[in-house]
Amino acid sequence: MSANLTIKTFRKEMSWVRKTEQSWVHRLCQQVLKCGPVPKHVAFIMDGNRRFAVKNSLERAEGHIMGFEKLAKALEWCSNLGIMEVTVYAFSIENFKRSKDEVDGLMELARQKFAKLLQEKENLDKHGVCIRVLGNLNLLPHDVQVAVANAVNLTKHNARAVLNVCFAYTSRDEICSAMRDVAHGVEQGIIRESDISEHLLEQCLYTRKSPNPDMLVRTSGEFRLSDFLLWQTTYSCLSFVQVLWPDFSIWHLYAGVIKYQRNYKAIQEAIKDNLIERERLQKESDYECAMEELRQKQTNHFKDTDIKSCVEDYTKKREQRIKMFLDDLERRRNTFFDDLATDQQVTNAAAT
Amino acid sequence: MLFYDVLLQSIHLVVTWGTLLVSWMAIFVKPWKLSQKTRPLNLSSIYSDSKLLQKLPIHIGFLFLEDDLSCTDIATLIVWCMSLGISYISLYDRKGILKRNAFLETEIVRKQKELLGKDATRFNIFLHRHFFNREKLVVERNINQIDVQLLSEEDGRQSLVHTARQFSRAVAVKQYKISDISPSTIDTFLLDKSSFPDPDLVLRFGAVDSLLGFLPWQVRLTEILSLPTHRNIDYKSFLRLLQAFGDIKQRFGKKD
Repeated sequence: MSANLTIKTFRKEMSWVRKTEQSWVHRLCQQVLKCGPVPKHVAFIMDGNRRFAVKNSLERAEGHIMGFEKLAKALEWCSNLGIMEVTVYAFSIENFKRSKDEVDGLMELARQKFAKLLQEKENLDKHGVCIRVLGNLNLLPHDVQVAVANAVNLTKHNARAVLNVCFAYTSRDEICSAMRDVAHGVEQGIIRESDISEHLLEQCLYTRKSPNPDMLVRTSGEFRLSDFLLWQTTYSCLSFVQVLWPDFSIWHLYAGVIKYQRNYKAIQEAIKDNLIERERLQKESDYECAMEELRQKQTNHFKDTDIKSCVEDYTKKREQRIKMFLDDLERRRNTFFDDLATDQQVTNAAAT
Repeated sequence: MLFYDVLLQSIHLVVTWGTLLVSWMAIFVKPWKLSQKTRPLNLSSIYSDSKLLQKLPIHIGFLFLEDDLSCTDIATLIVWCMSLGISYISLYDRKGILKRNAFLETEIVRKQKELLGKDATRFNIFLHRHFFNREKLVVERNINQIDVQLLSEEDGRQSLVHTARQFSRAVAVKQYKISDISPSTIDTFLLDKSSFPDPDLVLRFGAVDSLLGFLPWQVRLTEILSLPTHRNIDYKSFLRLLQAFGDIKQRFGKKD
């Protein structure tokens, strides 16, 4: 009974952005935490909404609603700590296999939430919140796609805090789409096969505008990644928490940050080594490609200075190719969202 | 104000390292379900332990995220896995030290003889040092074949880069269409190169709560457990983790 009353109260407040007063205990904890490095980007696998519903004798849909509430709270906690980017796993491509009722319920929740977003433009702009939706959006019902496009276009100029919502997403599907993009680039002659690198693939992922997550938090006691940001979290600090997502508390978040700080040195070293290796491989590749070009010009004698300038020249050209390729990719993605948003306007115009 | 800063820093230090100690204590104090008696380890005793486990991983990955690697302990782990019936083993260290280690093979043979005695010769162990240019065996796989792959950072994201290049080439020469590139074709490609299924379980050694570059594509559904160190690894701790693995149920995104 009381659970239902709580839900009715929450319904009124279920906004994306909120600012509540903090207690002195929390302020003190934050100051202690800020003695060490604080993650800039945290990813959440918000697992356990349905089990929470069962445990508290609620409808499954109510579990998801409580989950959304917890998300809004968690965003506030993150913002207070200085964590300005959050990525969440809202709906996996695997979830389409659930019962039709549940999938429809989740799509309906998405429609409502994204629609509410449009009403909160002032609040979102005030807090500088940018919302991005990452996934294979073509798999979603058309009207949800339109709602998503509007939400993304509405907030895309904000830059203070970023929320990435992974919807109709799996990591393998994302990596696959990046591979298709580069294959398309090579096929069209925009880039060469040898231009494909770790850096380039990363720039083709849905998360290309974001740095990799510093920390990944998964609730409900599961110890796996379940096809979420596999590429991006390979150097992230992993925090597996026992509680169900709606029971996630600020103390769990603080504990996660402490864990991140303990692992900071070891992880930063690994990331640095990886970047050095990337650079080395790129230089090696540029050298080999430049030499190949020289050989093809059938020059027999080349001085050191010739080689050096040749490699520099090749590097510059490669960077130009890549820039053109990525700009084109960006254009196509923006067009996708703009077209969807125009669909809405056309529908609205037709209705009047 | 300086005193306040020092106070904050001290609290921070205590909390950071205190929480780690508490979590390590929890690992060693957990109740032990299987046999308490210290009986001698041999093939039949280990094999009977495996029968008590709910589920055994087909492919287990060991992530050595510590600085000093002990060949003896690594060899011991391999021999335990063999005896339990785990036939695919990955050994990962970020910088590829194991790949370049000349003593690992001899150490494995030595440990086999030491722990398994006359049963040592029953198993055939194949050590794979390269991800892509692996020798494919013509003979059919039998139950006593153990495959061990030595992996490092370059076999992770970089192998996906290599895959992307191969697919791009195939599309450019019209062997493939772009729509042929799918998660399952990529998976097939990688599987064909390595002949290893995805790891079901990964054991992290070392106080680093990260995968640090280990096979990002293949760990999609992998259970990730950890132990503080692999040095002087004891059988009970290892078995305890396998038991925890056996108790896990996967829902695959579909239903509870």
